[in-house]
Amino acid sequence: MNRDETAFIKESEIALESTQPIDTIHAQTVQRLLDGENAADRWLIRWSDHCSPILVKETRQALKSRQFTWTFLLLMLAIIGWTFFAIVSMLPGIYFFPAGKTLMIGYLVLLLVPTIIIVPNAAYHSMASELDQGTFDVLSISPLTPMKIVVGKLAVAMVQSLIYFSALAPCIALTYLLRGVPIATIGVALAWIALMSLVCAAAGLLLASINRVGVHSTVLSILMILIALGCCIALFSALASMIGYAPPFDFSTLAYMSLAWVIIASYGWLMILAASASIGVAGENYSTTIRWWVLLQSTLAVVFFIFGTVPMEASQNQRLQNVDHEGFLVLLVFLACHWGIVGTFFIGESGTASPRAQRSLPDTLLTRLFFTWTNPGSGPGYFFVLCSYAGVVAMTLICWCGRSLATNDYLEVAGFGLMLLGHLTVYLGSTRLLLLLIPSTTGSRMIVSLSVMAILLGAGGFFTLLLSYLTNGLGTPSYEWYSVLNVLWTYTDFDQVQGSSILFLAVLSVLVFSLNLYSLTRDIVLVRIHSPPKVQGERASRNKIVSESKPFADIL
Amino acid sequence: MLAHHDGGLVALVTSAVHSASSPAIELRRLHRFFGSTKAVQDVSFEVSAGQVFGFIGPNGAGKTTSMRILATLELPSYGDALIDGFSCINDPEFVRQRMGFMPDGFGTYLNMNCVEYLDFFARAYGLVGKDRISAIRRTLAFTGLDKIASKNIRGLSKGMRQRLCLGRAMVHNPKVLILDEPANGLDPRARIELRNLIGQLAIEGKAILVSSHILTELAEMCDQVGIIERGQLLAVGSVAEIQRGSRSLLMVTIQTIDQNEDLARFLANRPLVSEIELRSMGVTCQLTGGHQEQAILLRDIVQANFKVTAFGATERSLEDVFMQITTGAVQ
Repeated sequence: MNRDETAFIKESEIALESTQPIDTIHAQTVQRLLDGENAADRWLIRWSDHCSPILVKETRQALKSRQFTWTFLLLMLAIIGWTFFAIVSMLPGIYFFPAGKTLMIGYLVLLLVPTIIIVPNAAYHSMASELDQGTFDVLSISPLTPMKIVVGKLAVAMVQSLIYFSALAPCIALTYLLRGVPIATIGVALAWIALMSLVCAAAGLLLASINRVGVHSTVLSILMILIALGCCIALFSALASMIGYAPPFDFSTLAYMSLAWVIIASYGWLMILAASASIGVAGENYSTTIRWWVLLQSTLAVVFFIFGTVPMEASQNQRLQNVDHEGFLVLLVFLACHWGIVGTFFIGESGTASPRAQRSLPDTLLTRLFFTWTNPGSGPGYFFVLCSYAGVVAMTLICWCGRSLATNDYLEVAGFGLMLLGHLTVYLGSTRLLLLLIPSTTGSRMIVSLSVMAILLGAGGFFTLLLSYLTNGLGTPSYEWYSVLNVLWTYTDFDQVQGSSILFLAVLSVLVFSLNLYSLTRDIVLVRIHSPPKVQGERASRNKIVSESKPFADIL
Repeated sequence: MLAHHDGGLVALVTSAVHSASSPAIELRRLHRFFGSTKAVQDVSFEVSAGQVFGFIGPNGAGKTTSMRILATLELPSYGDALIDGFSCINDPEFVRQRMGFMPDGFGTYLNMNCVEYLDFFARAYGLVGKDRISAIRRTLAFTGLDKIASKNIRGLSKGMRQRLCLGRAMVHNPKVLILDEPANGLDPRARIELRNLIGQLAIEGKAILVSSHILTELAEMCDQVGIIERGQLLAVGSVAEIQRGSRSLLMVTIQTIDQNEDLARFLANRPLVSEIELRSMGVTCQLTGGHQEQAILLRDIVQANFKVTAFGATERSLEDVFMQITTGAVQ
């Protein structure tokens, strides 16, 4: 029997025993439920007006749920148990030697399980159940935007993590008092856990929202658990070794770590954008925002790399001169993967822009000239990816220009970047051309796009290897001109790449690019359409009300 | 608090500004295809404020698809659907503020009572503070849920759930209500209560689009009905208009003194008469035509020396019209 049922039965008993009219009792119950029972309730209800409705609803649900209650109780019991066991087992040495590390590692496990596994899974199930149980339909027709829904659910995950953190706070203080773990290390460890908890919750929300486009929910549930487990194990290994060695955190180390946090957080936000796009209004333009964000991530990655590959104390020239050229190769491969993955989703976008989406297209000649590639649609998406990656390669090469570096290294980085660009052109372009053959009404086109890309990459690798086997009389395969289609082989044995391979890739790239360019005209000629007068009037009246309600709007 | 007042003001101003000219609900040549299945084909109709429009059709006729398009949950393949003059396709954010939707089946949240459920949706519609509390209070009183306000949703009966769903749809006081099979699965008493609630909402000036399989109920509560089958709207108008507009058919009952069998033989040879049945109370048959044909038939029977003691004719019910217009085909 849950709390609502208990309250209802209690209320019914009071009604039976009371001498008051039944209507008065019902009215009092409604009054109590709406206005709160005491001053604290009333204050909370007033304060909750400023919070997301999702946060209010789910916090109420969580506080009544057995899952949260039991998890919290078990966590408290485990904390008490571990503290008692660890202290007793270390007696009497605990008085003479630092014991903080041992305790802290145990607390890490106790904190990682709820924050990295349970909270993100709860976020996943919260969104998935909305979609599975039919509550999402009624939620989505409310004025809550998809972004507000996703951020609201993320806020719920944050609140739950915060509760677990606060449960562990006194114990963390104890580890500091028992010596062995510097306070900076504790702070950094907690920051990592908080960040990864949020990113995992964002991943959970994204996976649950993909459920809407036809992927089997069981597969996604398992994937979610695996992701959370993987993150939990990886994070525990990293944090345990950090606490074990307890390195001093100087300015440069903290700066590098901050850059890593920014990059990870940026991927978390990308997942939130993608999740809200998945559950959003059909016909709305979510693509442009995502494209700008992905471009910003890429730019940040290059800038951080340039300023982060050498010690912070070095001068500007020293930094660029000291950079090992292999670092640049890693950067280029990382960004090629980044653009390859997001590009696969971009080319899976619908080929037709809705009138609503067309209202958000660039309007002036100048904006159309530069920003057409950020328009929604598979064609603009393809060219946006290629232009952006070409920009990354150019930016990387410009950073090296004029420095006293070995010419061979420079050429290798340039060749590496251009070949990666060629592979993106060929594989993304071929996937897009194949998708054009699939009817536009087919649902879950992004999943289809991802599958086609995976098949093409697999086929490129398998058949080139097979051909090489056959041409070498079933002996050890050697890298041939056509082996350039095997992406993994090409970049792991980059020294073997010869002119014929490069020429083959270049010809193929030009061919695929030209075919895509030919099929792109329909997307380019799209022009902005203006909102009807009634809609403009409605917007104007809303804006007027908002500006009138803000006393400093005219000044600001 | 400013932002919250904005929501209330926006709702007031917008409802005042855009209401006079355009119909509350308008479907313009709506089409929706799912692959080769044509769920909705060229459906057009209008519903004015204060009207109840009944959407009748067999399962798979396209009622729910049309309603989901109006509720901004789906996009049409062609055509447009408008609520208070705003396109459901291009301006869903303006439509949603003006429309309440009650789907056929609705999921419920765990660990929530009726007040919390309504409170959540009131907040979602931007109602805060006293506005929210008064909206919930009004909704509870209107739907009669105030007696079970603290009860968990999972423990509610089907009828009470339907009331709660109706309450959710109307908590933000929308101008248009779209109710998909609201009486489905309800007992007769709950149906009558729901019908009364819909009637009251129409009196308040709301435009209501309601679909149902229970044709007699629709005939009683609707100002207009639309009969849809295989995605096509076959007839639109008031029940009387549809009955008049369709091929006229009367159910005739005749009683004679010991001549019923002869009368049945006599009727079998007459044009416009069909479905002749010999019953204990007399002879029943279907007569194609109106009052004129009815009078001629009576005259001919009397002239043929039948001793007629009773002669009565009744018009067909909405169910009869529905059966005549539709073919029962599904897609």
